[in-house]
Amino acid sequence: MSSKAVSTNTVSSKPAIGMVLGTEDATPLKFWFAVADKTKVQLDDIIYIEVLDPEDPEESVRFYGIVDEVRRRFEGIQFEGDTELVVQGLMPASITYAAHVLVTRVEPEDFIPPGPGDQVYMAEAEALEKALYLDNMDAPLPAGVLRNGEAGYLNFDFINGAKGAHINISGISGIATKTSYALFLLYSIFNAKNRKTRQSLIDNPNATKAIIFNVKGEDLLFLDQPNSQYREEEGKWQEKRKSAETRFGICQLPEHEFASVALHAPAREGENLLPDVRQREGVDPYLWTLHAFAAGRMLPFVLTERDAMTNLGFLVAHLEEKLHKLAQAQRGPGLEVEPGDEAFSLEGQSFNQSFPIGENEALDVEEFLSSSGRVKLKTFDDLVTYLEYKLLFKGADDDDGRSGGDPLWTAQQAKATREAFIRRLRGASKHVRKLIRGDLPAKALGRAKLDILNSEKQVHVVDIHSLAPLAQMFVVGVLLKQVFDEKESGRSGQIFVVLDELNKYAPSEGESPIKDVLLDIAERGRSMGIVLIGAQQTASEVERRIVSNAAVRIVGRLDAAEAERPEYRFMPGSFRLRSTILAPGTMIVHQPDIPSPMMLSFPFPAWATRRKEVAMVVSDEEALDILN
Amino acid sequence: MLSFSSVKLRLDPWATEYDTAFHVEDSLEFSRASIDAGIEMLDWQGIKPKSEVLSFNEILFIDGSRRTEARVLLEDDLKQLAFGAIGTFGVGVVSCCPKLSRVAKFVELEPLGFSSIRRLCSLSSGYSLPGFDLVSKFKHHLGSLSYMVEATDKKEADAVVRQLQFKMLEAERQLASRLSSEFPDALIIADGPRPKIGGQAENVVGYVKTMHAFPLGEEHLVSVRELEEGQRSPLYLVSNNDKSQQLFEFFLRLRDPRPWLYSFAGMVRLQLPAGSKPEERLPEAIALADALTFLLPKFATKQHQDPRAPQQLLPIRALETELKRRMGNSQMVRRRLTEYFSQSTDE
Repeated sequence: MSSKAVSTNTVSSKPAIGMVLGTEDATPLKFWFAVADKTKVQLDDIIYIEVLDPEDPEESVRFYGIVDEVRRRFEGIQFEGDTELVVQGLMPASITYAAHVLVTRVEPEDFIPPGPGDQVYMAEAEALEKALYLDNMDAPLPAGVLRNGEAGYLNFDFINGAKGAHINISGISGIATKTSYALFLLYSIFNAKNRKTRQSLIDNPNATKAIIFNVKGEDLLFLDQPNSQYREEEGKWQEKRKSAETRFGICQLPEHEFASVALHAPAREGENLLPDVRQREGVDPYLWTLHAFAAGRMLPFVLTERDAMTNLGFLVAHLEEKLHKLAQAQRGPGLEVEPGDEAFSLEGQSFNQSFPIGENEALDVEEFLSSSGRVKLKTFDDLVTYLEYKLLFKGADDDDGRSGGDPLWTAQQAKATREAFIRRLRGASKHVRKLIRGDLPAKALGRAKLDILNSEKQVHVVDIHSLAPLAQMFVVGVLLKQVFDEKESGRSGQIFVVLDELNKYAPSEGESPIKDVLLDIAERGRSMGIVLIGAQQTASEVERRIVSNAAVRIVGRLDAAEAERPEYRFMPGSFRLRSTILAPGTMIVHQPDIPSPMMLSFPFPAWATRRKEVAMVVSDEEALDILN
Repeated sequence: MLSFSSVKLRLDPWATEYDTAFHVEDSLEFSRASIDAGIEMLDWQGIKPKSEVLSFNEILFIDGSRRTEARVLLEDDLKQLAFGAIGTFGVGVVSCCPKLSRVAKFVELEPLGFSSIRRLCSLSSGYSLPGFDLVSKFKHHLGSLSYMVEATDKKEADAVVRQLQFKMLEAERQLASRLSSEFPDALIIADGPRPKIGGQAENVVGYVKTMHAFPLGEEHLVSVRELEEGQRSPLYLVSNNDKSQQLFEFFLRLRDPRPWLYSFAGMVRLQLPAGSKPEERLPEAIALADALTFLLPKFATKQHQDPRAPQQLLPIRALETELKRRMGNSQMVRRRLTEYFSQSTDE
């Protein structure tokens, strides 16, 4: 039978690499094959077999698959101790070399078992494309290099929202290279050309944006600079794999830094709006005006936790609405207090924070009192003070001057609840006061507005690494909410959001406003063109609905205990085992329309990922300038 | 086809394990051999050799394995004419390095013009039939099984099984003879009594595992019983009518017996060619016996490795497994036979 199969096979000119084993069950989904003499078969090799239709020898079924296990053992020996005897030359035995295959595709879909002795061939060229379902992909996105040296592709339709959206990456920090891979995918999305049409994969490059949150050091603030170590590092890989091409070349991607990049860092405190960064120049500061804070309903985001069903939750929702209404009637950047609050004075509160307001500023009564004679709130602390007045002091009848508050603002909550709210807000204020300001001219503050969708730049790196956790949550939450709201109101174009440490923003336990935003993006973002490229150390600690909504799941090096959790069951057992020994730069990539994951290695970044990688190119003129 | 006129082969439905038990090797023991126990040493005691120089660069272990697949009966319409046995045997060779400096391997026999597996049908009472092929009508059954028919004049039921054994021994003998001339630098160790080979074949020795009959008197056996691990008895000469087939023999203790085991446990008997002029061959034979006494205990199996430990040697154990594998699954063969006989009866 087997010899017959060989003779009818006209597809492969290369010799078979083995034949299906007859001593193990061969099923339509997995089978073992014996590796031919002097042939190397390793994990991740992609193979195919041609199985004759038992009823019609003219017809055959082709099985494509990936090798997920290889083994060698002595055949013909009985005991473990026999191995030593064989090696000593005391008894004969032969070595068997076998490989296990997970079937990825059957064509046509006749699920018959392969026959023992059927010839196995290495999948190359057209067969490889079939094995990886490339022929079914309208828009293949290069995602790295397979073990056999060819490019591996993701189906972009499962990323851009056409059939699915979102990417989720898991892996141990430092070894799993999650952020690096996310950036590579982003680079590929922006730079790849469709293999068939040679058109860009993204429909409208000008309206397509990316937001990358920089959470660690200032590493991502150099994306727009070429990497001076790229040639050397990528050359090492080429040498090791004896590849004439770089991995960018294999993926048919250009080798350069990110183009069209805007860098944003939180503004420092003080009058001059400067970005809070040390190593990089050309970074734009960002902050929000007090008016935008009220109008944009940002109040919930400065409170770390919110339980919608508690009294505090009701109070926050009520005040959010009140502030929104207040802001509607006026223009920024500060916030004027309500009519009827003429009695309110920022000086009057004995427990006022010692906020470093400049002397001339604090005493400038003209500025404080607008034409209406009402006080204008200029800082976040002012706002807290005002809210305290509205909730606790207005109409006070208590001995210590507190109790009632403005009944329109208190939402009939108990005094203890109102006090708790103010305490929390005061606690948050020291972290966010530099991000929410109204004490500078509107023009200056306008320049520091973070308006990504209207920017001309494509890639926006938003640095949050220097912020306290609460302020990080605020920035991420507010920014994503803004993007989501704008998209919800029908703005065109796509936006890719790269966010590491999802476990912090959307933990599996508890509720928070930012988790709500992320859930909204995960569940509804697909139809709106918002794609979340999320990463975390451990998927089990992230809200299940966020992980499960990601069409593409990627795993770098995993902790052994983590790899056993149900979140990773999308990988076959052999891949789960291997995920615990993955080297940096290698990822296991799973996408919906290929049943078996791919093992991909991605190139050393062509863009700088830290200051010392920035290529120091000094032109002649610059050199002369320095010498002069 | 099997039947001429009304004579037909019929299958005995009983499994062959219920064969009459008999020990084939016993029947091959020398019946009236004369023994010269004083050829190496008059006053017998165990010998622990000092030198282990073996003048051969390769050791070839030969063994055969035999299996009775089914019993058959030749009948015509009226009566039973003859007993028959359908069997398979295989002979094979393992090549080892005496210095154990390379991995042992199975020697391919086909290049020597020798087929390692043979299938036979033996018939008693002088009846013979043409050979037959078992070709299955099921296309998933791979290959066909070809049987040759061998006749024996003996009439008893056991004779047909013994005939299979003779054929196997004959094949072993031919193989030993062939190897002896093909590989003059190799020492050929045949499992069982040394095959009677024409010419000198000085490099062929016999390795007898079973200890059912002893050619020696009790005065010598006393010192044989006292042999320790790695010691051999002095050589003694076994003479037959055929002077060219005289043998030197010695006992070798492969491993010390446990106290509760009988006194010949762990013992084997080696047979070396003595030729027609034993005195001339003696020094060479002593050197070979010494070398074997050093070498063979290394190949001895341990109790857990084989039920016939330590006498069953490791290469032979592996060879028997391999031969059984090549003979095919016995139940499968039995089914093919049943299928074949059912078809031939239909016609």
